[in-house]
Amino acid sequence: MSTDRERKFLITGGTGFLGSYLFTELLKKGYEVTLICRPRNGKSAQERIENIIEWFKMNSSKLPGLKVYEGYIDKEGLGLSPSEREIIARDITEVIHCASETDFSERNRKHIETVNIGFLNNVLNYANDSKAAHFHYLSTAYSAGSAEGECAEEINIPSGFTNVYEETKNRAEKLADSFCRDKGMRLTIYRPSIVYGESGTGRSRKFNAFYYPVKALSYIKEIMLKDIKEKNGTRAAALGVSLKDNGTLVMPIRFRSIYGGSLNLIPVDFFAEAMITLIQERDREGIYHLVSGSPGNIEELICYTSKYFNIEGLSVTFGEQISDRTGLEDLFESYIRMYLPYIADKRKFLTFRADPILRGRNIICPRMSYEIFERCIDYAIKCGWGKIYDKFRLF
Amino acid sequence: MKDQIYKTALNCRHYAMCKIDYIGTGICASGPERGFVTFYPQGRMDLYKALVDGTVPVTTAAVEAADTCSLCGRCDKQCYFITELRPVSVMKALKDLVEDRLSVSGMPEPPVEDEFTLELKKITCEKFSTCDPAILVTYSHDPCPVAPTRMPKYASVPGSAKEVSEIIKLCAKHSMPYEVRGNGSSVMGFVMSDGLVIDLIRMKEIVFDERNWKVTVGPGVTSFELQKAAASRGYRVNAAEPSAMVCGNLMCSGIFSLFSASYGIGADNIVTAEFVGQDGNIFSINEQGSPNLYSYEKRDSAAPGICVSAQIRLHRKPEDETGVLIPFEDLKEAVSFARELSFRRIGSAIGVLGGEYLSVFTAPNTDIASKIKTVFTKTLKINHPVLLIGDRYDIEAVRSMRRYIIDNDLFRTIYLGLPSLAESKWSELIAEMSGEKEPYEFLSEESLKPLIEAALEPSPENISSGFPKDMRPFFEKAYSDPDFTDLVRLNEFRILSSRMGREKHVLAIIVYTPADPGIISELNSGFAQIGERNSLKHDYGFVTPLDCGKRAVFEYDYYPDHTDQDEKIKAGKALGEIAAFIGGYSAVHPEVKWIRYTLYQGLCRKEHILYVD
Repeated sequence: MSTDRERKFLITGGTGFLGSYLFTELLKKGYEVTLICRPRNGKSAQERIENIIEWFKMNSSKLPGLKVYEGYIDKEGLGLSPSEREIIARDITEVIHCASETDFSERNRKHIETVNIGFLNNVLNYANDSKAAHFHYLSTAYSAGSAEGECAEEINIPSGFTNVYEETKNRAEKLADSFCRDKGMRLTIYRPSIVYGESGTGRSRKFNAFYYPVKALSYIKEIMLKDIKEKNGTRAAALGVSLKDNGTLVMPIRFRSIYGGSLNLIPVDFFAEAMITLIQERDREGIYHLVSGSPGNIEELICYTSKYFNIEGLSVTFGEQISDRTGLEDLFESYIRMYLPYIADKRKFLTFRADPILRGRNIICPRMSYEIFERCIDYAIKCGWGKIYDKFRLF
Repeated sequence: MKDQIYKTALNCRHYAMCKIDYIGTGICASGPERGFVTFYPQGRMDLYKALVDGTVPVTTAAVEAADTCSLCGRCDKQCYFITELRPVSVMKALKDLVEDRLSVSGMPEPPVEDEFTLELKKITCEKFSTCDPAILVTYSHDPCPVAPTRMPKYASVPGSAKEVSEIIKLCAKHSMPYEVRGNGSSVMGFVMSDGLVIDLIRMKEIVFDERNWKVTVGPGVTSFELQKAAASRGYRVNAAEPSAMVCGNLMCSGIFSLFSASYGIGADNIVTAEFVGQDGNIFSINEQGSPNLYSYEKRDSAAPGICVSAQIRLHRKPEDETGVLIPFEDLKEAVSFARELSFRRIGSAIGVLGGEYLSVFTAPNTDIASKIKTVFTKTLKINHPVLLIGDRYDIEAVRSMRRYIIDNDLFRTIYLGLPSLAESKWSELIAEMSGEKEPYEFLSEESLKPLIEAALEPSPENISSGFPKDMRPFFEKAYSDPDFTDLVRLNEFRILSSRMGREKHVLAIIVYTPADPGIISELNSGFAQIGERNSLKHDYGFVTPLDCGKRAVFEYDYYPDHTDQDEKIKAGKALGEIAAFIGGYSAVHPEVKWIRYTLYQGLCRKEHILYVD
């Protein structure tokens, strides 16, 4: 598809995981991109974006289509000066709102509501004041709510939600929908499932979601090995952990799951390609699921983890509770409790809208395999699960 | 190297921790022998700086001060523990400097003694009064950023109330201004004089009257010395910072501590006190016709005299006493919980602590302190631990009120494993695994104990690895003593909180306030904003509920670098803003009272200061 040079995008959340892939891909395709970004950790908006561009191995001096403004989407008018506000408003044709809070904790409800709904409202109002005629909203597949079964690519009215994140994303979709209808603005909503690193290289700018328990297991292995090799191993023994002669660490941990549940993971390269493709379909409105057509499961991930780290004893048990939990199982229980709806997901995300477009262009989500897992974890370890690039404040 | 040595000397904060044997090193032998601060490491630091600056010549006392240092190295350990300064380098440089100057001049300059000096010497004997500038200069300044340097003409270290009385009469006769000094500094710089400085350090009487549950204390007795003596008999007193003089602190602040939650403040802890009045006559506050020091008035007051002894109340220490920390992320919740404990009379010591306690106060060095502060506050979400010391019934009650607590065993594990915690991925791991739980809740899960211990590797060797190599064997031994990791001991002797001025001098702002979480939170925000506005390091200090949770004492701290002129100016400006803020706030909430007015009114009844507008 040829580039339409008249299309100029204003993007929020450009420093985030998904937003950064989007704006760099749009730039690569020759579009003009304006980013609204706040300074943080002693770095200006410009510096933060330059660091991201550097991470993507691009040269910021050769990106004439990129404009960065210091702004604050928590403020009306996005915290821009009157002249900046006017210049941008005159210039842009579309807005892509990626900024979001992905925290699940009920105790942070107020903050999550403010970010996911309040900030969206500010961006919608700004878009309405500008020349933009199309609003792109980055949502989540999980805005469909907690009910098992099929989830269509439409505004859902679910009976309940797993957590405040899902709820606010659903409310945000409704807000965007009604606002855009009211103002006569086109709206496209993109709903990815759980996004991890690049399937081809393993590169990633974020190591949350499925990375967390894998990272935890790798740390625990380090701690246990040190205890066994350098101390007398009594603490490891108290946790039922031992070392075999062949170097395999026996670490009995049962992960609770629900039978028949799946885990819908998509790599970030698929996400970016799919969303850009849909954006390039000029004037296309509607809601699109960006999900895996053949989701994996927790059993597979545990197999991959065991193989990668040379650990024995990790297993999956199905049921509501493990009654005689060990210390290590206690550690994982809170995580499992919070993420179970995603680890053992009984929702099926329909892709009647997205599929024809994406498959037509041969954009197919790869299934998480051991090879992809290995590449992702290799990269995560190589960069210290994000710490090595701390100087860029990317994470 | 010379610049570094000078900087070390300049950085002495006058916390006087080199004057007490708080970590089992013993103290500089020449100090108690001569009395003057000049013969302690603190004074030698000031003397070295003065000699380099050319403020004073090499005098007889300067030579004595240099010669009487044996370079034993005790002060390095004492000072490093608190401020990370190493005075021994200054002591060596002082000796070299004096020797160099003498090799040119041949003889030290003897002080020119006038009539007043001779009369002072008649009272105290030859060696305890002086006009030698090398001694005087060590009494001429304090790290307080708003107190100018004032060089006294004379200094005296009397040995008895009778001598003090005679000195005051002598001063009256000659219209000589004087100031009375305790053990180190006045954070507000109140103990400088153009005339005579009277240092009461030699008056170290401690006499127990167990039948009447009291101990008589001389004005040269430090809180540490008194607490140690009391503890050896199974008692406890309400004590100030370890190097603070008991009598002086009583006069200035009424002594508040975390134990004030049960022991009270001011008059609550004294039976009587003896003063040398401004006319030189001795009076006891319990006598009819004596000044009424039990009353309080909101005004700047003059000293009623010099407190030359005080009878302090003794409290019994339960044998099953222990300490626990109850983690909270939110200040209001923590204050509310502490107030509830106090209201229900649970525990003998209660304090809502800040992020500094588990980091700056406990870490072996500032680098580790900075890292673990992030771990505790950001990762584990322990912003405001409530410290409680109590007997087994108290602890049972706390456990029934709050599931997750850090008991002394867990505290010991964390404390002795701090270097690992600073580097460890462990804390990150539990934060990521916490789900809807608070990350700190994992700490007290019994089932996770082996994992925590394996991750932190708690041991005296581990924590000592944070000290310079040559000091490690000493600190390994010190940390092997269970008392050194015992929350009860650490708090009754206030060892850890002595590190509050570890990086820079500390300016403590203290107010009495209703134990209301909303008011305390507003005060906290107001003080924080002043710190931010003036670009000064600042932090919440502590809150202790008083009088069954009706009132509280709240400390907020600012940390100006007293060696930096810009910081001193900023601190001065901040003090003005603090005064305006407290003034404005207490106009709306008259129960909020700044402790500055208790200076010289510290013996007042708490009922008078806390409940009368």
